[in-house]
Amino acid sequence: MTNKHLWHVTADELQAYVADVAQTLSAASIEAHLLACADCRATLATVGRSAESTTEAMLRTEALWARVADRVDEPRRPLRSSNRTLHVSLASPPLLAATAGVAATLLVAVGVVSVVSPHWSFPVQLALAPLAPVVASLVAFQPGVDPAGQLAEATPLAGARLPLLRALFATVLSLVSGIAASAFSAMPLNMVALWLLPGVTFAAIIFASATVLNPTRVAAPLMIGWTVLVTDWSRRHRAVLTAETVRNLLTNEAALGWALIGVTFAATVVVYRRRDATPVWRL
Amino acid sequence: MDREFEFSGVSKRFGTSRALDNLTWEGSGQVVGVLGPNGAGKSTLLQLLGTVLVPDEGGVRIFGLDPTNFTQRLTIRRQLGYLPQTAGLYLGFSAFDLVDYVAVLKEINDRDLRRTEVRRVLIAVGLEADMHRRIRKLSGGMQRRVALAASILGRPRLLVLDEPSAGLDPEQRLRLESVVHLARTHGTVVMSTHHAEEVTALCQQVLVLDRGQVRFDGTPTALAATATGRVWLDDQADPRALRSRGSGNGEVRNIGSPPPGAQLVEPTIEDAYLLLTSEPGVPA
Amino acid sequence: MVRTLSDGRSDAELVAAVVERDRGALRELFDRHEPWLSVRLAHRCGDRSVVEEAVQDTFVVVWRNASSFSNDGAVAAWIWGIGIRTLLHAVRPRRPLIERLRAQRMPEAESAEDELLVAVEHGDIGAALRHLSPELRSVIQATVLDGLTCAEAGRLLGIPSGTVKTRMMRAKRELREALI
Repeated sequence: MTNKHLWHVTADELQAYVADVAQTLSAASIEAHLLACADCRATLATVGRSAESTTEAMLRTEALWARVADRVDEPRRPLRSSNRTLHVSLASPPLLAATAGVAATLLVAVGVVSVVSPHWSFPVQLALAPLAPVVASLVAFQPGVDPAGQLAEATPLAGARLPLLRALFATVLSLVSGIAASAFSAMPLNMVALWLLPGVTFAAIIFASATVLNPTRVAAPLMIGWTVLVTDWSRRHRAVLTAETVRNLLTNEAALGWALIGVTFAATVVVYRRRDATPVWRL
Repeated sequence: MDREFEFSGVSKRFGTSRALDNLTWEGSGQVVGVLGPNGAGKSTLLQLLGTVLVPDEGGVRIFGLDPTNFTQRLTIRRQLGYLPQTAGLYLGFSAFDLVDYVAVLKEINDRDLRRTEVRRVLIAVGLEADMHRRIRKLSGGMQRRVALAASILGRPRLLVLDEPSAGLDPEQRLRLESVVHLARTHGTVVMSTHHAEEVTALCQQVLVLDRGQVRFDGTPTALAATATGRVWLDDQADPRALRSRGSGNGEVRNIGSPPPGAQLVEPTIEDAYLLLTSEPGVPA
Repeated sequence: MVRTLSDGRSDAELVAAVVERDRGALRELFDRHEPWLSVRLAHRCGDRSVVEEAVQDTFVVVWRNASSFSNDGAVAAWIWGIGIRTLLHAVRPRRPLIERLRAQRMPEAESAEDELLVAVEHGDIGAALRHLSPELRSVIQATVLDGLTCAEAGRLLGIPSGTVKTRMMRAKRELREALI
């Protein structure tokens, strides 16, 4: 310790100060000196303890430290969430980036098209409908998506539960961006939930396929097929492109039938492949 | 039946190479060391125990449960700690955040409980002072200990450690030993290692793997005993020996079939391990 | 709990380490500064649980705002500044927002007070201080020794901040006269 001070507080003076029986002036100079002198602070720590038993004082200090530590030992703010879905999703920067990217793509695409060619803003929003759930389910299965890497794979939440929670998070967020995009296109708000139907179906198929092969190989054809379908349909209904026709497209028997077939197929594969829910293609 | 884990006729292939070949093995309630050269199938064996792989043939049972069954695997994973050979942690996370996140994956939902447990494991691996620093700023050995801390969350009934001592300095290895001793009080520990002396220090059972097959399964003492009469000292490496290595005091330990009149010495686990993996013999 | 005995780092180095999220450095700062801080705060407030709460809050603030420590100051004085304000906050928890904002804009300490602080430590000012009336002395203590602003001192002593200022001027005049 440095010894730059000419004088130090004596043990007796410190004792009196700790016990609060020192003169005001003496107390004041002791306090001023303590601020500047590490040696006297250290002495005070021992003097202060002689009043109570050493163990008692140590226990009190440890208890006080434990209370400080309880407040210091907290995860960073985005990870402090008590909701598990939020927690595991916010913990994954790639997932957050992908979700934000998809939301931005949807908003920008629909926004730009609504200015350039308002007629097409509706089909574009429709074509991009499955993007968020599909991208989310794809990302959720990528090896690098989890902050704990392979450590995460042997935990109870690993397997299908963790990607499911993440896909759920991205789907809910895509609903929000879908509602926002509806401001540009003519899609009525009550259709936005319906609008998610193809995305949820595709996500189910991707989840099922992930137990057998790399889900990217399934997702790409699904998205391309859907885009072709929507483009073709829009061209044919160009004259009468209203909310009513979109509702008809999404709720007609054939569309719902395909969705049902897709989900049933997915469920069957998942049940059949339940024995080994670890994505095989990754090994 | 109290076997904590059982392998019966397990085979696992990757492409054309056989990582494990018709392996039968069991163990419980102890610290089990898995020794073997690179490519012997150690990691595959531990991945099967860690429920992140399923066998091509044969069956694995952990706590008497079947890890290929969805619900039974969940039950196993709730009592399992697994440290992979390379974890791949996010470097931007603090050690505390990362272990806290793994605790969420391990279904420790109550926040106060989680904090207490996360702090406990980080202190156990010696990261009390550094737990809030970003993993990027920690040394390689410290990063390894972050992963170790995450694997011992919740005092697992079965702790699987894939080369836990890789990259640790001698002091950190001592810390690892204390962690393993602690884990042993509430469960079984299976660890793979390159260091025969760790087996001596920690393990009650040892498995020697070579080319996907069991070459030895028994106590460390019994392993050392397999080389009785096969180790002799000489001034230089004996060309007749299968393996020779310096013993530190200028003499050379030769392992193999000793010539008549050779100066035989007490074998160590390492001698026995070298002997086992260098002769193309039948499984012990 | 097994801990290594005090490390050789200086207080300022420890604060810099706390900025780098070194929890061990915080523990070391706690070990060095908690004893005197507890004693000194206990002299300002009779309620032991309030004092413990303030000490606890102080070190949490040290952890969260370590980067606000300017390297040219003394760590103990910085900690005391946090500690006394935390105590003040605990004693009078319901300060109006406007007042809090105003308190933040006020300069931390005035140079005249710093001079007086040095005088108290080294000078022969003791006798003069002893002759001050209790209400003047308490104002000096709150402003000069505890480093509170006039508004804060007023709240601690339960008097308007204008009164603090006038008493401060009176005290300075009396001290000056006594010293000449």
